[in-house]
Amino acid sequence: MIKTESKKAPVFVEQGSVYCSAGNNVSSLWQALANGQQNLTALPCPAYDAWPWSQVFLVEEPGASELGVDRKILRTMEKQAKMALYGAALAVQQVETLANKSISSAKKGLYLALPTVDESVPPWSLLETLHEVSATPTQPIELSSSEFLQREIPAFFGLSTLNSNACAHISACFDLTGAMGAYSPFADAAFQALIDATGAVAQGENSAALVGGVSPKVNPQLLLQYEHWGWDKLSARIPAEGSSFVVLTANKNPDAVCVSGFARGFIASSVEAPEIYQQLLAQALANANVTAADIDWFLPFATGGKDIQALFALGAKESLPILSSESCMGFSGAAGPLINLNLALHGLQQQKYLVNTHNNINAQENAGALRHVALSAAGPEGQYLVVILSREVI
Amino acid sequence: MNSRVVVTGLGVVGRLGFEWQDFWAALLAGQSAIVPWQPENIEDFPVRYAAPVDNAQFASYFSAQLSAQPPMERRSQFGLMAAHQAMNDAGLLGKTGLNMGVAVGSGIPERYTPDMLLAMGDGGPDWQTLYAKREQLNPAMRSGNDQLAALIARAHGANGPVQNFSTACAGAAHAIGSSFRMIRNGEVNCMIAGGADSVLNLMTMVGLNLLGAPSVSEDYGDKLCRPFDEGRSGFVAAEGGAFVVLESLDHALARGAHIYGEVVGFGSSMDAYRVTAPHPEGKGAALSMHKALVDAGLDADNINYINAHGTSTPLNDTAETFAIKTVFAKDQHYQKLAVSATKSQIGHWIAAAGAPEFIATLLATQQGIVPPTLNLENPDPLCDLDYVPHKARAVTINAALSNSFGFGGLNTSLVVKPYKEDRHG
Repeated sequence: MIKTESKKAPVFVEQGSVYCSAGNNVSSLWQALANGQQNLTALPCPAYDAWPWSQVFLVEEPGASELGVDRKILRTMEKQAKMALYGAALAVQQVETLANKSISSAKKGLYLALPTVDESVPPWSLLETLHEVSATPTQPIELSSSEFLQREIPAFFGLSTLNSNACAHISACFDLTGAMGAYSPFADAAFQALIDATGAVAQGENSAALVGGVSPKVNPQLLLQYEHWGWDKLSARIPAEGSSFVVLTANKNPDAVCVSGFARGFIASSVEAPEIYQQLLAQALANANVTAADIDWFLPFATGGKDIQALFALGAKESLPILSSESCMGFSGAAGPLINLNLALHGLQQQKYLVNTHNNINAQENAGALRHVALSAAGPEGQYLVVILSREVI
Repeated sequence: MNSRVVVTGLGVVGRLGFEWQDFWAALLAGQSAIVPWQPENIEDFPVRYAAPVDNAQFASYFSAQLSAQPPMERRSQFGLMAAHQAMNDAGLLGKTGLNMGVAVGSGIPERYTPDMLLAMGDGGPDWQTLYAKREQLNPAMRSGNDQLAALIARAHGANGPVQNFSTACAGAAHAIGSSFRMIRNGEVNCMIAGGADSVLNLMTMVGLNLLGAPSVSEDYGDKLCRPFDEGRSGFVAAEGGAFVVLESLDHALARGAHIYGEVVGFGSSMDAYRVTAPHPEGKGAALSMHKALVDAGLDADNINYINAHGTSTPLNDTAETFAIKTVFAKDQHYQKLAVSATKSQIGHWIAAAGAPEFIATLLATQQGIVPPTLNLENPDPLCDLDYVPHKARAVTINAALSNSFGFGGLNTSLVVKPYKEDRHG
């Protein structure tokens, strides 16, 4: 049984940013989900014709002006780093806490969930050159030439393939020098980041923390990996791009929503999964000092819905609204749990929720008294994490 | 109530050996792991030296354990074996019901060039061709970079948090620091923490070389890694895996475990400066050390030894020296510190670097002997601390720091003390 000591001080969570195919704020996403708008795009090149996914959820690649950086800096970043920086910029604009000069830079932290870098290796341009210059491109002698490699591989390849360079860009752009962490590569990483950030704020190491997750860029190598996991056979695993951020603070915010509980663990085999889902859900609920019956909305991510029964077994209300957002907006990897977190914060603020409909394309919006919301995230290897949000009664 | 956190198992797999005792003996003897090196099938690569693991010796030493494993990246092989060694050392192999998690620092995924050559069709590379041949892709390359963390968790029955850190060269230290926090907070009883990395593959080394990070000098032969020396010219890449078993003190005492030392503090920070260079005055590094001391509840003058990040790059070593002088400025305590750079002996393990260096710090603290900084023949005038040149030295250590600073200004520091029954004794 995993046990978790109660946090030392409440940690409040503020709605940050959502950057996804439905738009660049949580209201747009909420509305798109409620309206059943799916901004699907055909895979971006004809070569994908025979691949398992014909359409995916893409976002525009942010440019230098959106990112507020010199154009030269873009050479050091792949699309995922740009999505991360853009999401961070939107969150900093949205939440005053991070611009608050009374909090020193050394008390402003950063916790990121990052995918494995999405660049082709060797770079695709190198393969094209090999085809042009090599007598035997499938066994090219040029790959044994140091001179050829140094010439054909982009100068900043070592940086653009380093996923943590997103941290460096975000910290430099927004002058964050506090405690930090970066986790990868799948959806579970988002709540690893959130939970560790919560601990750092609760214990006074940071006064505020920017917490974000970013999806991988949709590219053929990613699709091969998704197929490796068998996700091509899951209807809710349509690849999606995006990023999402929230801000944690020790100061009570106007919405007064806090991270009241969490639990995290590992499921080594499917046989033990039901028991561990229950253990970890129960632990998170106990940590938040609530029962399953107190939960007003549940947003699982990447669990395949397997933890829903566990929550009911613990006594959740039969009428508990559940939103599996990935079936409506695609599978955005490490961004997904934080997109859900922003949806939960929006719902807590507006006292409304979304629930899946039978067609799984749109979600039905309902008004309802929300106080405690449970969210979960899972990694394909077996990581499973639960977070409970609670709204203070004002 | 916070739990005290102790180290009860060590595992190191690198060029200096496959048991921590061999690694430690080699450090104290002033041995170097750095040898002439070129990527496979290349003779004119600009980087001429590295510290690779000897393939034949590794395969032979771990043949029994490796034969039962699925295909995996090279770094995962090192890491899985190092974690096995640490669990064996802790007396926890085969034990169940431990309430244990795993935290790993991992770096850039390994690049298997033949995989992408599968994309070559008659008309040039195309994705459709690659897709058609996908069954030929190396399966080890298709899982995520949390592969090692999951392998370790399964191998040792961990059901607690399983984390994979991506903080560049601070990754393994981050993993150890996060594990320390989770045990201290009562979330778990036990963690397997550390890192493994191998950048000694063609594509990654080309990428690093294009950034000017590794040394391409041939002036010093196998003495090329020379932290704090005027002649330093870049890091020397290495590979390996290192893990520790961390436990709550109560858990360790209840099972009569051997205790190597106590982890008492962890700090992290960011430079917020440049993607390609540390802050020249080491502001982020100083903040990381300061935070670790605050976390440990220690004044700076309690520290006697620092295992430096000490990469042998022109920028890091002066910035780190500056940072140390800032943090330990009171009464010029920096003049009393022993500071050494383990990378001078083992090279730079990149994302894993923090783990063998943490182990070296811990053993130095336990045994009262500090491993040296090799090849420090002409100290840089801007690097004017006591770097324990050439030879190991006996030092009484009340508390020690281990620094790991990642590319892009991602910094961590860990504080360890010798284990004493009475923490304040």
